[in-house]
Amino acid sequence: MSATALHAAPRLSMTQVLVCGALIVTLSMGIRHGFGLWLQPITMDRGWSRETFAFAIAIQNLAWGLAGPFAGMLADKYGAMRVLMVGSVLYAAGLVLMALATSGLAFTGSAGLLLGLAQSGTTYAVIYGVIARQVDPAKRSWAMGVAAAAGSFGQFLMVPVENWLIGGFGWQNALFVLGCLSLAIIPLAFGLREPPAAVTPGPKQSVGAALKEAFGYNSFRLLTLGYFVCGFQVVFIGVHLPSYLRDQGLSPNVATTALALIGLFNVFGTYAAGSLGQRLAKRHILVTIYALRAVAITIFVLSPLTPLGVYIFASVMGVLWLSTVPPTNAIVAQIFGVQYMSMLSGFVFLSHQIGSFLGVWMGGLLFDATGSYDIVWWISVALSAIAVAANLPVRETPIVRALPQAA
Amino acid sequence: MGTDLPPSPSRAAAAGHMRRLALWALAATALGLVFAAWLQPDMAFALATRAWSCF
Repeated sequence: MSATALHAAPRLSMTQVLVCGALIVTLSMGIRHGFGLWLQPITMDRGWSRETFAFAIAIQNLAWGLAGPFAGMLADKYGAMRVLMVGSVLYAAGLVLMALATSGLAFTGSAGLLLGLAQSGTTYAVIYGVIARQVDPAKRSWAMGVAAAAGSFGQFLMVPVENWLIGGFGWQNALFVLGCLSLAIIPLAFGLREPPAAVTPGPKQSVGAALKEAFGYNSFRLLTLGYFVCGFQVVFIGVHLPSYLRDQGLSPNVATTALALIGLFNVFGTYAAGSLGQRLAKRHILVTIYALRAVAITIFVLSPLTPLGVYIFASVMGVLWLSTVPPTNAIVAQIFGVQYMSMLSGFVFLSHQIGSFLGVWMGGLLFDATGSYDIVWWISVALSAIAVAANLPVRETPIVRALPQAA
Repeated sequence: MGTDLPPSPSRAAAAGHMRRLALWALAATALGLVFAAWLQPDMAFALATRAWSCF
C-alpha cells in the first residue's frame, strides 16, 4: 500500500455516494414537485380557497430557503446522515399531517412549515456537502451533475406518479403513500455516513469566520446574485407558462407537452452542465446559460406563438433549467473548500428561493396590474443580463487564507 | 487454460462500451416512458387546472 493511500482520509466509494445521494434527491425533489396536483382535490374537499393552499406552498418555499443554511451548518458539523434522517421523518410527518389537516392553520403548519424544513434537510445543499467531501475534486463537478440530474429526473418522474396515486387511491391516501415513500430516505442516508476524519478535514475554521469570509468575498456575492436570477426565471416560467399559453389561445395539451419537454431536457441539461464543469471554466458555463436564457425568452416573446415554437422554447429552457445548480455549487466548493460546503450552498440557495418567490408573486401581480405577462418576460431578460455580468468576474481559484502563526 | 487468462484490453474496452450503451438505452427508455405518461389526457387536465405545481 502506498504512503498516500495509508495517510489519505478514509472516503466512501463514489458509486455509493452517487447512488444513495441520487436516490435521496430523486425522492425529495420529486415528491415536492407534484404538490400542485393536490390543489384542486384538497381545496374542493376542505372547502378552502386557492389562496389557503397557495399560501402554505409559499411558506414551504420560504421555510426551505431560510432553513437551508442551518440544515447545512448541522450537516457540516454532525454529518449529513443525521440531518437526512431528521429531514426524512419531518417529510413523512408533514405529508401525513397535510392529509389530516382540517384548518388552514394546520395545513400551513404541515404542508408549509414542516415540509419546508424537511426539504432543507434532504435536498441539494446537504447532498452536495457529502459529494464535495467524498468525491475526488477531479470528478466533483461531474458527480454534482449526476446528483442534479437525479433530482431533475425525480421532478420529471413523480408528477405522473402522483397524478396516478391521486386518481387511484384518492388524494388523502396518496399523501399517506408518499409519506411512507419519504421514509426510504432513512436507509439511504446510511450510505452517506461519512468517516469522522472526512467530515472536517484540514485546519478548522469557525462558522462565524467562514461566513465572514464568504460574504466578504466578492465572487460569493456575485454567485448568490446569479442564483437569485435563476430562481426568478425558472419559477416564473414553471408557474405562469400554462396560463400565458392559455391566454394566447393555445390548448392545455400544448402547456402539458411544454412542461413535459422542460422536465425531459432538464435531466440532460443538468448532467451536461456537471460534465462540462470538469473541462471548462464553470463561470463561463453559467454566463452561457444565463445568456442563452435571455436569447430564448426574447425570441419566444417576439415570435408568433405556435405549438412548435412553444415546444422548441420549452426544450431549450429545459436544457437550461437546473443546469446552473452543479456549476454554482462546484464553484463554492472550489473557492472555500468543503468544510462548510452545505452551509454556504444553503445561503446561495436562499437567494434562489427569494428569486423564486418574487418570480411567482411578481408574475401574478404584474399580470393583474397590466393584463399581460409582457413586463415580466422583459424583466426576466434584463435579469439574465445582470446574471451574465455578475458571473463573468467570478474567481474560481481557491481562496488564500493566512496560515496560523507558529508559537 | 485459456479461460483463466485475463480478458484482452480490446475485449475489456468492448465490454465497458457495451455496458455504457446498455445504461444509456435503459435511461432513454425510462425517460421515454415518463414522457409518455406526461402526455396522458388526465395529466393535461390536472396540469391545466393547477396553479402552483412548479413553485
